[in-house]
Amino acid sequence: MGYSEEEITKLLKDQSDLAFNAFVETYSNQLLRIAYVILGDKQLAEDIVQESFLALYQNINNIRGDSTLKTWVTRVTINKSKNVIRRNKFKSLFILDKLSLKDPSPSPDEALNLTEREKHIKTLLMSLPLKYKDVLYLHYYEEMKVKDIAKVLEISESGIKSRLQRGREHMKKLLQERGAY
Amino acid sequence: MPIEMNNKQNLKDEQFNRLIKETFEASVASIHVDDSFKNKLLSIPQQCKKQSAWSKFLEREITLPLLPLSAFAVILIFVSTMTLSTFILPGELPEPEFEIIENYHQFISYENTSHLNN
Repeated sequence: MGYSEEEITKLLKDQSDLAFNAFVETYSNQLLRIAYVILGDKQLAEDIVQESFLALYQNINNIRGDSTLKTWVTRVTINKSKNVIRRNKFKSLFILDKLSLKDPSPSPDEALNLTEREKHIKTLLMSLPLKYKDVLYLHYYEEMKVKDIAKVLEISESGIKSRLQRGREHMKKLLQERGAY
Repeated sequence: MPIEMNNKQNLKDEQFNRLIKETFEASVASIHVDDSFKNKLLSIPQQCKKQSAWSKFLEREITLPLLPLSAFAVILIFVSTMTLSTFILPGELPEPEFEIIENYHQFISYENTSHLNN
């Protein structure tokens, strides 16, 4: 559609459906992937992305201008996804008595559709601690700069750097354990 | 020699960076927004149509603190009981079986005089 970020923001504030559609077209795939990397479940990831776009549409006039809309909606998606993980962990601790929620392997339905390699990768990524997963994904897959990741996650740049370093070490260990490195 | 070692290390780092990227790429390769999900997202503005003040009021979530609520309930019950009790008319009251004699002193004086007469 060729809208700039500023134009989309202005049009969204005027409740323009066209601008909203353009925003969805541009960022929905990216947000779905981030949510999926954190959650490891496509259905849950879709729910989170839907909630994030809803939050964007409802709060468009309350969003402060100190970050871009993309940064804002990415932050909301990541935080919502992490909340789901934390809620599930809490439930598994107190209600379900450590039932399969901690199991990083794919569900039986998913296992039918995934190849052997994809299953291994999913298990590997789900074993990666939450605090490293988002930082590594944003840096290595999305190729975001440390400065931009710091804005999204609201952590200092030095904090991001140290997470990247530790995350790399953790990833190396996991890959070595699986004979992939 | 240290320059060579550095180069080797840099190469190793680069290879590892590529491996991380490939790992993430492989994990999200099949993840994309399909048409039905996109339609769901595009229908968000229609779902968020402006509400009337009344429907906003009805949907508002109100949180009441438990202790003041129960204290208020107790006071309300007490006051309403007191108010209602003032409207209740007395029904048929049981009447006493024996009547109290008021002229008790007269009886005594009569008894005394009759004794004297005898």
